[in-house]
Amino acid sequence: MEMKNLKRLRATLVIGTVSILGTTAGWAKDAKVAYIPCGQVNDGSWSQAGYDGVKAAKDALAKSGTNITVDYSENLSPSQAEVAARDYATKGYQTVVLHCGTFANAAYNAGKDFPNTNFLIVVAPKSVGNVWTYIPAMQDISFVAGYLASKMSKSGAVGVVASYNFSNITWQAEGFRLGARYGNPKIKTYSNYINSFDDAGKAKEAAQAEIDSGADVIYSATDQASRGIYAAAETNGNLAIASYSDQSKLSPKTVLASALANIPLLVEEMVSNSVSGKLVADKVYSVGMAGGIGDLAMNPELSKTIPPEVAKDVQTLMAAIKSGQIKVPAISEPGQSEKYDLSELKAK
Amino acid sequence: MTFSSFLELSFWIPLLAAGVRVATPLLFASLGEAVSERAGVINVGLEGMMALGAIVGFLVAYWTGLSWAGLLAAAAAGLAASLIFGFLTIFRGADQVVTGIVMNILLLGLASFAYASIFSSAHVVAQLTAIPIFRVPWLSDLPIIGRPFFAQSPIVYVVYLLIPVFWLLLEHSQWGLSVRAAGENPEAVDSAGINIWYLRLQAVAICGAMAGLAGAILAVIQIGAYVDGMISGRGFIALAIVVFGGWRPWRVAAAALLFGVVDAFQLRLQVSGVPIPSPFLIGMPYILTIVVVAFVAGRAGYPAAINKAYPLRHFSRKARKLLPADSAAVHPLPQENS
Repeated sequence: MEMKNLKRLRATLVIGTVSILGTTAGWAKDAKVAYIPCGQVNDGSWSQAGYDGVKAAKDALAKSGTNITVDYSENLSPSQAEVAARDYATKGYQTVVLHCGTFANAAYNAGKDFPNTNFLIVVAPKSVGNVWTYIPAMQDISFVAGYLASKMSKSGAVGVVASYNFSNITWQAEGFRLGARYGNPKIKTYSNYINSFDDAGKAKEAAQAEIDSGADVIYSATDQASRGIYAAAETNGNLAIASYSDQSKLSPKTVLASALANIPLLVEEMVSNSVSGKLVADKVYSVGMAGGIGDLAMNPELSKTIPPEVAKDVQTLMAAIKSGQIKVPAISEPGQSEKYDLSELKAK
Repeated sequence: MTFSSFLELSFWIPLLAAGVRVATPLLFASLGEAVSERAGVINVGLEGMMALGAIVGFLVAYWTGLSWAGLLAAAAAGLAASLIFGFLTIFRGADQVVTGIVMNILLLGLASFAYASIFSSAHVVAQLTAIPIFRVPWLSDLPIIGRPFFAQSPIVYVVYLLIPVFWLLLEHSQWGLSVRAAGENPEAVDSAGINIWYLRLQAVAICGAMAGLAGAILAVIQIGAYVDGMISGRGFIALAIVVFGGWRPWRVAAAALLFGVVDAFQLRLQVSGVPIPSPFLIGMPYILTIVVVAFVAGRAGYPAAINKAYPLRHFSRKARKLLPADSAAVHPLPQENS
């Protein structure tokens, strides 16, 4: 019985592969793109940002004469995502976007079996064959946020509350700490990891632990859990800096600024390049401010509290990072930013 | 912060205060669960009931502008959910663990669906104003314990009162004696003419109301917002705390406080920059819970009749008279001497 099922499965796979070969001839003009995010395409956050990018790519490609159709699958577990990715590849989709950090294995596994489909996976270790990873290198903009935090801190200590000690999240947290040191070499910097994107209660206590140690500006490198960080900052009359999206409305009296990720732009470029065959083999697309990823949105209610010379220095710093004069390193171990030689930042 | 600061009061006082804050929602859930388990019903659906309490409490507090109305509504919602759970497990004899898991899946999904459909527009900023802490006169000036225990949100003082109330109710009242007997030897309760179903349902209802409150404390009091997934396993931690506390209110309270303090401690260790990998530090309170539960539960043991339904055919004549007439008709009494 099991053997029979296996044979049937293999037969399906063979038919699937044949059908892809049948459709690849026409993909340059009329491609199908599938989008598989962590959550829902209207979540107002991560999953929606990626979807906006896919739609922008569709519009941009339409102008150059390539029509793509876009389909999506929402709220999948990593194993379900792999099934969906394989399903789309079987149906002849040219590009499958896996916009969720936990889908890396799904992308690599499906990539091996469907060489004619491009798989794009957000924040993964490597690009290999027909699988490309794209990473918002948030350490550039969090470095700027750290610089601003150090200038706004009265206590001489700032902190970051991060979700997972993982890849670009750690880069972001350490980038903030390094930026704070760049602004004030004597500043104390703290970090906390809470192992969750949405445990607001733990985020609040993590921020409180840093505030108890003297920090008065807290950077949020989490997702929805940031509400807890703002609650702690409100209780203690401190400042916070948000990440990924403009969150000044969530806590107008504490969120000084928001470090934006420009996820739609990153996804748009990845999809456009994938459909038009411009992706470079084995290249990891880790894109920072030089590539347009990372911007600072000021809270209009609090921006007047920023001294004009500080605001000017922040602009100068952003220009220096964009032009490559200052290179922010990707530090992947918590605390290593404390030992980093600040003179190494300036490009030689 | 350096290692030497671990020896100073300025480290320990905020740590204890944080421990009390972390423990408060856990303790609400655990006290209720202790009563339910003592009656022979393990409610694995705590996590889901907490999520329901969080969303209902938040919505009602947001719409009315009254935190206490949110808390009351959350208790009512938790109670309603527990009545469904109680009906299935006690009256219909469904497996308690399986039913609890189903309740978790159902209620967690319901909570996030409700939030998403009510606040589908991302432009709405739904949040509540923070509730200020209340310093208890005189007590908050006590050395060392004053600030951690008596300069807290008012809900913390409610839980201080609930610990002795649950202790008296469970261990020193007629009702508590019946409840404990229902969990150890339901036949004895039954032959005393007490309706075991209604007794267990009362215990489960208390558990549900407390779980609803626990979720609302997180959303309404501690954060002032509802965040999808904000319960983050606290319902399961509360289950472990009940075992850890040996089903006794005072020990359950101590266990919850210990968990809270260890969790607050690991966050401060991370701040201190100790060269211990953060995943290990984050895991500390959970590792502690597993170790202690394995150690303590081995000796204490669950109530004997836990997850054992008491079928209607076992009912004594005396207890059966307390049932509605129709259920006696559906399940006719077996003829004696036949």
